[in-house]
Amino acid sequence: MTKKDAEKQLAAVQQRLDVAEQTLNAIYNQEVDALVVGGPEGDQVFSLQGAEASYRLLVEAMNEGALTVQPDGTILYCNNRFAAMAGKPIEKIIGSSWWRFFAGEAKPALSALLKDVNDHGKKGEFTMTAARGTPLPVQLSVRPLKLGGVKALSVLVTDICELEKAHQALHHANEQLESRVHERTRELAKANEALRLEIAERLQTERALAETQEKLSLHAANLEKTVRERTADLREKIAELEIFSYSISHDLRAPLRAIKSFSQILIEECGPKLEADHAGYLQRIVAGAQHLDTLIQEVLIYSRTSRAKLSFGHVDLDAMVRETIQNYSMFQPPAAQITIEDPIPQVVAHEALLMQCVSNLLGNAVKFIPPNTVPAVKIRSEALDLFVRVWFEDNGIGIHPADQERIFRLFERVHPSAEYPGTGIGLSIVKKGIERMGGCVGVESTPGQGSRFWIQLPAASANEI
Amino acid sequence: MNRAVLLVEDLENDVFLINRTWAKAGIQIPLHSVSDGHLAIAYLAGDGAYADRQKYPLPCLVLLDLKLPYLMGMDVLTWIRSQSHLRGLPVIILTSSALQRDIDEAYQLGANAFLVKPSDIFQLGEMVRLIRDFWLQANQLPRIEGDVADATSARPSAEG
Repeated sequence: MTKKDAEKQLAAVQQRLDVAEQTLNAIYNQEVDALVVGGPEGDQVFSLQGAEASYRLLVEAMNEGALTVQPDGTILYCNNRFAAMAGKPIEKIIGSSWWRFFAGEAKPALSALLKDVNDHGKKGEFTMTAARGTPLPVQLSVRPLKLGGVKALSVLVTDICELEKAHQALHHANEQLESRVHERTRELAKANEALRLEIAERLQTERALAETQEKLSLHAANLEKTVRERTADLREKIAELEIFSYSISHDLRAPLRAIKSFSQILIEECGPKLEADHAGYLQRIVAGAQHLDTLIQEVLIYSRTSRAKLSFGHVDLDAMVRETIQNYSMFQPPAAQITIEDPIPQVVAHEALLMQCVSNLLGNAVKFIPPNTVPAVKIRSEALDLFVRVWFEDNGIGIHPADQERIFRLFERVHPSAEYPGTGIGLSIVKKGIERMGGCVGVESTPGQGSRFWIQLPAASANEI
Repeated sequence: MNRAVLLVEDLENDVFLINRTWAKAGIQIPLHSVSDGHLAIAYLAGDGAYADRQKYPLPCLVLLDLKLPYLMGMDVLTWIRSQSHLRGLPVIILTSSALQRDIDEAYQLGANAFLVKPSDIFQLGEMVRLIRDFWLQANQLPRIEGDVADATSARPSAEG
């Protein structure tokens, strides 16, 4: 080795020694507590154990990344957490530019952040390029720092990945909520609108209803008035009719009485003196008057049957038939043979009217018989659920099918009076009467083989009165 | 004592027929007839000519038609029953048509019986005989006071 070489070596060693001395002095004077020493593998940091050890541990062990950065971006220091976030060893990070860890787009915002920072510190959210190049959302909390007379910045790097996610989720949820709220609001508005329309409709309908009701009650009042007037009218007419028929009956029958009675007196007093023909004429007068009288009486009955107010009750039809037979010798032997098969069930009817009908039916049964025959009438009954049907079966001359309907009509007669006297009113009284009592009538017959008249009335058993 | 039956009937024919039948039935009590309601009351009250109770005795039975001129039978009946001395006088309604309403009213007003005029002389004969047998023979008639004759005989003489 030459003197020159040796002097160079010495100078270098001296320099190194100076630095070492300075460093030691600095350490001694507590001006530094860490050393960055250039070594074969780059800069190395040596830190002092001592009073700030606990802080050092804190920073090293904390869950946030911590950096000390120069204003131009050079990283003077970083902790393990940051190194882990960055995915690089600490030695590689220290001394490098932190711009490396941020994408180009972040630069303007980041620069602004660094410039704006004052004593109160500032925070900002950025995307850091983390391990394996993945973007990592972080929050940087920056504060100025004086590092041995040098302006620096302390940066806390917080991984806000989870926070971001939560934010996003919240945002998403919020959006969803908003959209749902929006939708619901829309639905509600729609429903509201529909409701308003319905209410409007309802009100309209109600108004229309009220109007209609008013009209209806007006109509009803009118109707009632009309009904009352008509009823009064009808009652008046019926009363008139009753007086009319009563008068007719009374006033028409009086002269008839005279005609009949005086003819009879003539026959009585002059009979023996009269020629057979003349006596016969008188007889015809009597018969004529009698017929007219019967007609008047029966028309009166028929008219009353149509008009009269009926009062219904349970009627012992069996007893009534027996009583009718008892009351008239023409219904008893030897004049006639009337039998009742089984007790006739009770019916609902107007007693007097029913008696009239029974009387008429029995009268017919014993009247329309072939010559030289004793009338035999069988009365039997059928119980049909709600009705009772009573049959009057005779051994009479019978009725042709063609006549079976018309015999029930007023004044209709099949046979000439010479053969069988009658007014043609009896059966019409039966039909009108039974029908007015809620029943019906009918006949089954074959000419020459008798007739089976039937009347049907509501059964007392089915109708509680 | 003079007895009589009063027939109140306006129809001449009916008066004739009833009289004829009455005689044929051999009834001893004479039948007097008046032709309307006013005359009936006059007879019973003893007014005017009817004061002569020898000629016009107070009847022991009245046969009363309902349809009469001037005053209806019901009104005559009402008048009869309003007279205290005539309240017991038997009245038989004898009329042509039998409306239930009339029957009920007659009885309500105090009629003793209700008969419908028959339409021929045979039935009329039966009815008159019925009146004879029941009302005049079987039935015990009440004594009708208030006779003019009775009244004068019952009153104490004013002259003492």
